Amino acid sequence: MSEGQQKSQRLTLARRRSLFGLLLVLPGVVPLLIFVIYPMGSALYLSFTNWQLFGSPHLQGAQNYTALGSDMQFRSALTVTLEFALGTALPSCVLALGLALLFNARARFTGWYQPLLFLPAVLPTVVTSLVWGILYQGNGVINNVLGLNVSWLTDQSWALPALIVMTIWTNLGYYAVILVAGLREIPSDYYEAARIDGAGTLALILHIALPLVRPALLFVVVIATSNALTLFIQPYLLTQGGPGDATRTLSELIYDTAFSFLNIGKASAMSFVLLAVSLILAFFQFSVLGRGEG
Amino acid sequence: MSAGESHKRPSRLQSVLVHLALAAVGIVVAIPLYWTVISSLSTNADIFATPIQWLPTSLHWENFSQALGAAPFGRYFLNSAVVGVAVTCTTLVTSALAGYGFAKFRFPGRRALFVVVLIALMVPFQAIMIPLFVLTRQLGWLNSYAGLIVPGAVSGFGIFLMRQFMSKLPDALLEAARLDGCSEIQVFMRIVLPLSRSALAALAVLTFLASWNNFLWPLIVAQSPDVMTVPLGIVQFRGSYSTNYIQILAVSLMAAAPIIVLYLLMQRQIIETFASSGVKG
Repeated sequence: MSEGQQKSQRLTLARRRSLFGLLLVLPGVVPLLIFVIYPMGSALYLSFTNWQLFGSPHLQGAQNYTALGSDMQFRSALTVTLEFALGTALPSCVLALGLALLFNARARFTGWYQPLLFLPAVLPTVVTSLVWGILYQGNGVINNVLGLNVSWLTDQSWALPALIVMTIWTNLGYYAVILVAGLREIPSDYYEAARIDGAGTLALILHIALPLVRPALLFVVVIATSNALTLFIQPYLLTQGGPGDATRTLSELIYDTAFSFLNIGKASAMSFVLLAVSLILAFFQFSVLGRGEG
Repeated sequence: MSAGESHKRPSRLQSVLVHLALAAVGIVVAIPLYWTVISSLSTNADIFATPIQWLPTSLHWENFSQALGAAPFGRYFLNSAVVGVAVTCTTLVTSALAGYGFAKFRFPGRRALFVVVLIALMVPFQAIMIPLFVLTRQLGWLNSYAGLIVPGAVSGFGIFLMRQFMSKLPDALLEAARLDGCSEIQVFMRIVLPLSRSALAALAVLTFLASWNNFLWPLIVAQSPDVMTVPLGIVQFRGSYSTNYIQILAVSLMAAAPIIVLYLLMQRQIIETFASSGVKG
């Protein structure tokens, strides 16, 4: 066999392999193009129309976007979403960090707490929401235990904090587990060296654990924020966005605008704002994660 | 040396404090769960009694049978199972294939196609649900299994997860199998798939969990009781029997039961996968 023939045979082998690779990814990528990428383009197009779901869409320029700027309900939804994000992220971080440090103390027989604390995160959100809805009733368990008489879900100032508390309850174990993984990444030599230098437990936590777990903490903040952006079930089931607009999150407002008021154009413009914010967050998340790995 | 070996165990006093703190948080987390279980066996008067009845005075198993009789929950469970199994199967197959393709092959357009996967991974569902509803309606799939299954049949997260896992399989192993005369398909079936079992199992559980718990998409595309899934069925039930709390709790508990069983069987894998990827929606 001549050298040229051998070379061309190797080329066809390489080409066949690359074709095989392409065939492997197509059954996954083609549906994503149809059910994710195309809808993104479609959302952008619809956001420039005044479509009401029936009839055909008419382009009307950037009107939906300019109207959003002065739309009080949209601005309120952005504020509520942000308040919810900060309201869950900050206490969650503090509590989850505390839990993670407790787990990381490696006391004996603490292994079974982790699955218990994590359990609420895997239960159907509809189920946990309905349970908390009953706990929050006027004559319900929470008022009963605390000896209060607060209308948690129908009081303008308590409804959002009530949703925040149940969300922290749901996700706390999940966030703690992320931080435990972050703490485990820290090489034990660091602790050993510090201990030889005479550092106590508090010094180990303050000067080694906290600074080195920062990427994982940032990760938790980003996840809690993106959870807030997509928060829908709890307000939909428990408060219908109320009282007033006190718990109307961005996702709830998009759903209402599109599917209760059939204002597809306006809702699409809002979803594009949601998309932009989420992509910025995701980019941030990737760079945080990337640094954590490197 | 693993981190655990050289890590000093805490003193006895420290251990006691750690246990006290963890127990306090554990009780707060457990109370709503425990309360749900006992309340589903009580009466509507019991669950709002003062002082709170932490132990049921009598067990009312009929709450479950009455709730099941009041709405077609058998149908809802069947629908959830069909959708969950179908979505899990398609996700596993497409993620394994595409993950392998992205991990071990070079082909024209690879980067661009992988960007598609990353975008699918990052875009929140709420940002595309409106056009997705419009598309599903155009396809004539409203109120059908197809509408519930097909738009979520492939997962960007699944492909990404499998690619990450399969990238770590040694190339030399695959090359050796090829030299032994394995075809590309045989390499995939006999070497790659068996070695990826743990990742596939984790992906299967997470996908089924997400599908079983999914509420927003079924809410948009399934209005007919024939295709309603369990979460939708419970919300529907609560719409008609809004003050029958014990029965709402009973059906909620039944809806959570398959998830709790899966969790008890696979909790280690579930927790690890969640922790490493940050996927919980």
